[in-house]
Amino acid sequence: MSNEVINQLLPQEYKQYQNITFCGNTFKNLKYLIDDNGFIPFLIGMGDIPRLWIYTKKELNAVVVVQDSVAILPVIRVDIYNNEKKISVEFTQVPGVANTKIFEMDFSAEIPVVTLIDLRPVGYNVFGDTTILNIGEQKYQGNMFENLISLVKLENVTN
Amino acid sequence: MSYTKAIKHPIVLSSSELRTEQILILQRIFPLDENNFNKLIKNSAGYKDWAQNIFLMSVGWAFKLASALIAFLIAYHAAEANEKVPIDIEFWEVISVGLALFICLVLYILGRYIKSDRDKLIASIESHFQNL
Repeated sequence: MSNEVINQLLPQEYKQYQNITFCGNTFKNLKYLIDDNGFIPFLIGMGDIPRLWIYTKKELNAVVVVQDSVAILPVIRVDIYNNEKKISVEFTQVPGVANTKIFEMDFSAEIPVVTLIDLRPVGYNVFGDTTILNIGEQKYQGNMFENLISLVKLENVTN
Repeated sequence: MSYTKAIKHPIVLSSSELRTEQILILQRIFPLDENNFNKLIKNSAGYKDWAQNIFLMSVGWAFKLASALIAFLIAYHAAEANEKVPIDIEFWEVISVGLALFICLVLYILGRYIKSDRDKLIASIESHFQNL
């Protein structure tokens, strides 16, 4: 399973934030949140409105869930609040799932702040709120990650 | 915010630590409204439909010709020398089959180039799934 290669075409227009506060941690010049053996499930790109891409995988293909902050699948909703400068992503009509919001970000300040992330529904054990980021079994708080291609990667992937 | 440490290396996890078992999103979906649904079930395939109908009709005629030909061959082999064996095939019947097949071919070619609303919808659904 871990050696599978997923067919995925990353958006050329994606440019990462140089500085972003992410669930109580700071990312400086971080390109990707997760590198799953070459498959990149989540991108937060710079833009007047943050540009989000979310992918999941089916067999060996990447399935676009959110493309440039536009929901592609009807089970997903992307809300952009222009006045409050917030963007959120949530599931709709998913039975048995209490917390349907998977991402929330405040981009009112110069350094945007990710206040919620939960990638478990799309297949990754990464979740957090304003104060703490959970990755696998570990909790991260008040750390600064800088100059990384990916924050999380599989153990057999070379960086 | 005060930082406890600056980290310059990625967090490395095994696939069982990183991945969750359940993925809620499994299906690619095409949003089909009522109008498009009606196009799919009620509209014909246009020229291709006509081509198929005429082809089936000409196959029926060709069966009639084939059976007449078989009857002729059997009678011909059973006949005495110099005995005349009539063939029950009219000239216009052969022409009809040929003409029907020709019209069928023309309609099929037209159908390939002139798309009906149903064809266009099917093409857009195909394109939707290919581009996701």
